[in-house]
Amino acid sequence: MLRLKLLLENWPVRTMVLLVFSSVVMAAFYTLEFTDWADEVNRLAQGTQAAADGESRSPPPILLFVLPFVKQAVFIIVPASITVGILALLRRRRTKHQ
Amino acid sequence: MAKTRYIFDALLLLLFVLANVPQINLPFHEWVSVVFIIPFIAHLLLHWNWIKTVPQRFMQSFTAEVRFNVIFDSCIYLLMIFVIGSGFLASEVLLPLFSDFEAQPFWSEVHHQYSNLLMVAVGIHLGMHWKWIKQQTKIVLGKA
Repeated sequence: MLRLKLLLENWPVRTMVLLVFSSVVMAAFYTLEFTDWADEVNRLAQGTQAAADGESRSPPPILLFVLPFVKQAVFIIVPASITVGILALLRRRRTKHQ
Repeated sequence: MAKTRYIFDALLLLLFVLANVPQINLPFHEWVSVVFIIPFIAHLLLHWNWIKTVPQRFMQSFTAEVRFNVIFDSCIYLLMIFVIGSGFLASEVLLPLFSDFEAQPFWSEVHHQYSNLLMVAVGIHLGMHWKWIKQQTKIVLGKA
């Protein structure tokens, strides 16, 4: 049985605080659209799109399905394992010094 | 309460994985990403009491590891907002349903690049809390 007290306690107010704060943060990020960086990326992307329009190669469907999951597994599991290893080393060193 | 957190976090991770495969089906990616926001908010609400104590306790009672965790979690939150927001601005399926919005390539580019960075950050976040994840998995599976 799930205990939802902590989740549901005063949730409308807390959710509103989160949504308002996140919207303000996103509004700040939105200003990036007016930077030289955005102009440069837009210009480069249009060039890349024009070059890609000439090509029609696409990988086999099975690879198209599997590869994104493989990529995620690598991108998540490798940093997680390295972090676990570093933390274990740091904790072992701390216990040794105590 | 830990079990509730564990189940919501597992749901959050599952939706994160499903949302991160736009190559398979773009409308599915965009709809799952919208649904993902619900457990993401729940994740923050379930840690609300801890978040509230951070400003007070940051310099006084936190260890270096917890302090690093707070800074990293703040960064991952900002990154998550950026990726979700840029995803909305790069939307090719959802947003055009509601307006004549035309996505700029810039948002699509940064959304793609920073979502890769977000995957790495989520990996580090999971690694930082691996002890808790292992402990709770044992409890939920009844092996503790």
